[in-house]
Amino acid sequence: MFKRYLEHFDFLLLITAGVISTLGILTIYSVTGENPSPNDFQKQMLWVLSGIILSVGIQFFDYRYLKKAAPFLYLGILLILIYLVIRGQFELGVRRWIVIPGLNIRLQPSEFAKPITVLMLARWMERWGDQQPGISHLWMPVIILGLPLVLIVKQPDLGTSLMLPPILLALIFVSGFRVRTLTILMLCIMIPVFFAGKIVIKPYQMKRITSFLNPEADPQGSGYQLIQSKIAIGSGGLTGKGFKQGSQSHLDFLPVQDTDFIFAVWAEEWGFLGAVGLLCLFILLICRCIGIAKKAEDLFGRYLCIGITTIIFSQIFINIAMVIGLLPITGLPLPFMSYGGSACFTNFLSLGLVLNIGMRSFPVYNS
Amino acid sequence: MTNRRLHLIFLTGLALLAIILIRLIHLQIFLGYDYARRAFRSHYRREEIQSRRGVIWDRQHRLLAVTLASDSLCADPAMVQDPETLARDIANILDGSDAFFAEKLSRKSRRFTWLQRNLTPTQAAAIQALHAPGLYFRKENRRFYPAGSDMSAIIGFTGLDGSGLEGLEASCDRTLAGSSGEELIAVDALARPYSPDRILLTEPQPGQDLFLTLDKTIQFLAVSELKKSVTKESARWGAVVVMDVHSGDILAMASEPGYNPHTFYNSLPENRRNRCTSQLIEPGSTFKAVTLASALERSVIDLNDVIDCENGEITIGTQTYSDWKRFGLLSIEDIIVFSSNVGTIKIGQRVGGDALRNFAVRLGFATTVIPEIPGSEPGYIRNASSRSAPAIASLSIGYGLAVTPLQLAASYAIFANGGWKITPRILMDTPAVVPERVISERTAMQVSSVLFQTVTRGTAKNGQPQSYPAAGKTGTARRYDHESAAYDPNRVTCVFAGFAPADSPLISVCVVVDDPQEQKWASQVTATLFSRIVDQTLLYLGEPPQRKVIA
Repeated sequence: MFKRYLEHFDFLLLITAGVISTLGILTIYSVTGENPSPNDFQKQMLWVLSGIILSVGIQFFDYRYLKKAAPFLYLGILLILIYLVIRGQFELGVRRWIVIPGLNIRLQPSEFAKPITVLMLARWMERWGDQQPGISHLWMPVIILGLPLVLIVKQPDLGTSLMLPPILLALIFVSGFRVRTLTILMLCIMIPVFFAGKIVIKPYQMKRITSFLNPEADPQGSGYQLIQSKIAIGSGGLTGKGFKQGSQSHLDFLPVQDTDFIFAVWAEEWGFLGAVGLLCLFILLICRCIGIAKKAEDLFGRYLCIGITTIIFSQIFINIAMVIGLLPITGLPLPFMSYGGSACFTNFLSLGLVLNIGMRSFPVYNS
Repeated sequence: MTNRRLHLIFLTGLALLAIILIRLIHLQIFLGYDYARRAFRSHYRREEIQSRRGVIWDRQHRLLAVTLASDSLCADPAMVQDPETLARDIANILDGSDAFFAEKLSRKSRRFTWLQRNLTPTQAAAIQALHAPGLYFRKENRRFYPAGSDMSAIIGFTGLDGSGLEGLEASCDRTLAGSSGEELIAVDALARPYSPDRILLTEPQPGQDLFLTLDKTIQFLAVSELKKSVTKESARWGAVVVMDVHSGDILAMASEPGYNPHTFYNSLPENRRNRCTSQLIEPGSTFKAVTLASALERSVIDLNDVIDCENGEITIGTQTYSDWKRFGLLSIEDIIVFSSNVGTIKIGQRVGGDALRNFAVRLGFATTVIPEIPGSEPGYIRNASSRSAPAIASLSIGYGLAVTPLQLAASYAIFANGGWKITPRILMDTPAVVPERVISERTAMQVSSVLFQTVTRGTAKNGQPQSYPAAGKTGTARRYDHESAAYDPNRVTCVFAGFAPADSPLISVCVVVDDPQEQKWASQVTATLFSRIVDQTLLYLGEPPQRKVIA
């Protein structure tokens, strides 16, 4: 029994995630290692290690138990997000973190909201079974996704809130809606979002969005980050400047080097070849996840797996695209690479779930 | 069916990643070189390399002005923890008040402030020992003048930026300064240098050194003797020029009161003038030698002629000129030896106003300047009324013209030189000017002999040096008072011009002491000063003493 689990455990997926995380730690060491208080990369090592242990640890619980827990987790995270919006402490103009007193740990609940929303969606959509859902089936997923989305936008955390709609799109696409239905849905979402955007989006967010189109218009202001990021990546060239040799990041030209712009540091130090290598690792990661989704035992697991994969992929794509100037800059970490405890835990927890689904993707109970 | 859609999603994802890949190729491969150049540019800041300013040397290659690196203290007030205490510590080491430093250190909004420029090495070490955060040094070049106030009137000084502001430092600034270079230094995003690596763009060209004709020792003794006299007489100012009669080299140029070039900002602008070249005086009786030379040159008199000095008083037009003693008949020689105004006026009348004026100009009056010294005055000889009788009379005895001490020394050098006019110079590499014969050798010898007699037995007796024979003439010129538009009999400018040794002259000296309060005669004030300077200078130059003290 245990042996069969081991046979189905996707070691390659875990190793890929581990390798990416190691590269992340190296990069964080590269930019912060020589600081007077060089504990950033040590902290990240601790988080990655405990993340891996966590992802392995949750293999002992059958993911199907989560089906029952999903509504409570969902309700819980909604309450925390509501609390944040109403009572949260402002930090740098946003209310994103809750601090656990005594432990001095700062958590970012919106990070956890992503997998929990996926859980809830998966649980709900599993009930549709194999029948083709009609347009009336759409209401509930939209609401399940909409509640946390609105709350996260209120924080405001534009980056994280952008992660949520792709989940819904991916899930209802694979759940078998007619293409016509999906087109109508898309229009229904896009048109209000377009107009709501003009009202909801704050001036500093708007400035970011427009500045990415022409960063040179304000090189010292809103365009600064993007210009510096492009200089860093571009000056890396084919082979890069070498480990700890990235001048743009080391001389503080590049902002938030160890979180949002970690890809720029990587591409500067390791060049085009390094960047492509990292992309390949990410593609491998996504491939394995999709593979698990395909062979998932039940619809819940399948939806869960697809949702999680979508989250990870969206983050990868949006982060890299913004760093290289294809999308407006929003504060969003690169999965497994960027410095940050909450994101690290969430990523490995999600990965653990995918591994769990993969490991149990054979009829154990029927035998 | 659902797996097909899953594959579609996966392909969409791959397509999105392909866009990223294309963008990376664009940024890193195609634009890589441009971005690398841009990155490189932002890492370097152009910085000026100061060139070494030329050294100023005296004729014996002794330092007169040199640039040394010094530390300037500055502060980042935002980093200072306790401004009050720190200000007190700093004030104990530097020369400033607690309040001054405290005020500067308390401006938290500023990230930079000078506390004191150009510290001495001892001060810098003491500040370093405080280990106070927020304090740091900047290397700056500071000009040091080892001769201090002795030479400041000639050399001048530089400003904080190192460019010459006065004296030779200003007039020879381009020679001394050289040209600065340029280099690139590596900086981080906040423009802070982070690496010692530098890229040289243009090499700085060091400035050229200046070699002066001045002799630091002669200058020192001239200044100290002059200072003594000026202090003793409570005079307004004094000047001494010592000139080598053969080469025209200026050996010393003293101006009193002087100033310290290191703290020039504490001095009065009028005390920064080089009085030897810019202070115009009426030469008074020292000019009588010129009148005599002019008459001899034109052969309108003979040395053995006798002139009636009218019992010491003569009236020309409305003006009455009197002598200090009721002279009767005097020989031409004795007129000069005893400095008779009446006699000299009669000599002057024989020469004529225009001839006398032209002769004086030929000797260098109203013309000779040292162009390297800023503010050099040529002076003037009154022209318009020169044909009137009183003007001729006044000019004969040294009034109605404005000359500099330098011109007096240079003209007496002509008598000493056997009639050759040498252009005075202050820089060793001044191109030599061919000496010009302006008076015959005979005239020069005769004038020299008369001047020797003046020192030996005449009014300039006090000017007799202890160990050397000298020739010279006193001059006590009444100061013209501009307010009352008349000559003030109680205020005089004492002048002495002469050369030594009388038989084979080496140096020509002019001494001026203005408005002495204790004694009012040049024979008392400047003659002794002349003798002391001549004695010491000739001894220093290695001239063997020729005779003992004369009675």
